[in-house]
Amino acid sequence: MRRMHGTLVFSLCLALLFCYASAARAESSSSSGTPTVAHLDFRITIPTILYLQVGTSGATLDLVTFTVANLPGTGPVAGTSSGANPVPVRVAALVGAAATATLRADSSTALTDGASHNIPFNQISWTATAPFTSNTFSGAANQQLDQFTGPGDHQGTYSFSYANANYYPTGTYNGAVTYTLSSP
Amino acid sequence: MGESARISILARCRHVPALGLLMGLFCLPMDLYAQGRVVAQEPLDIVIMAASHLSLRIGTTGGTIDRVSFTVAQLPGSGAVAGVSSGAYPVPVRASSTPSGATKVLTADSSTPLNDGFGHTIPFTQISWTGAGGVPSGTFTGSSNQQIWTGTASLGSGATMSFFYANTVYVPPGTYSGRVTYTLSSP
Repeated sequence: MRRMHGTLVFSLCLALLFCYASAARAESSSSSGTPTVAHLDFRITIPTILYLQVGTSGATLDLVTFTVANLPGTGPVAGTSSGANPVPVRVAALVGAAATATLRADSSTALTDGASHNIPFNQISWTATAPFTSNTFSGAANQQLDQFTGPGDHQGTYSFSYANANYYPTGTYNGAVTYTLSSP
Repeated sequence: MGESARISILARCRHVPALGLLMGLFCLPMDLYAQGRVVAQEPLDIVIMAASHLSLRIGTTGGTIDRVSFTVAQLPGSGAVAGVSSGAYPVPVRASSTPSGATKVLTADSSTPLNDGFGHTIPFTQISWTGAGGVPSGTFTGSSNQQIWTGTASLGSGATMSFFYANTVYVPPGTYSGRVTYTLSSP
């Protein structure tokens, strides 16, 4: 009889301990004890973003002007932008680690004076600061200028020059280049 | 300082559960005696109150762990992104003890960065919070034992944290998940 009584008390203690432990674990974000812990989960959702800037930021298109003062063949003419000089260039990409972001230019429409006289864009070159590449417009619709791999923010500048290597009728020639940043 | 001081220390320290701390306090006057540095004898009252029971809640009541989400819509560097919680927001913080005036320390373990499951991570140092109701504002350090708050009062109604993602790092697109473990302890 004494043994049975002892066994019963022991069982009650176990039951009380079980109840206390269950209460302490009842809330995974709230518990009691010394010390006690709680958790908080975090989630960050990052989208794919491609950002391209050529010229000053904003909606206005910058205009790079070359004013020729000497005969063709006497050296290139440096351009002056209506915005910042040299022209700011920024390529920012939130893309996959192995994904590429490719900068291309469409210079297929030649500069024109409005009187059927044209100057092809292959007369215009630029000197770039890293990480961008110096080059000359090809006059093609899909000229690749630079390519970057993975997410990153790339900033540099372009300084344009006109070759002034050919004879054209006097006048003011205007044209536009369209830059495109794409990621497959 | 003599027997009266030591007796006072012993009497006041009966709530201290740690035997080592008790012995340390008891031995202190003896050491001073041995060095002949005791110049005055006054009763010394020391009350150190350690909690025997602590309660902590981060988020809403219940068994579910709340999740704070940040949805990025702009490039890094264009401003912080405010969080949205799956529970109450700002995130409630409740910390209390028995006895209620015990010193309490709230720490955070943010040492495991958020990850997208593909080996890309965002450190918790990108996440900050604005505290209210006694909770200090701060930024996760990415360490395993960052002190968030300490005090003898409780953190009750009005104690909250509003979280922000700095959005200053370029990482691959995806969903990054992570967990911070908060610990409330009493020294």
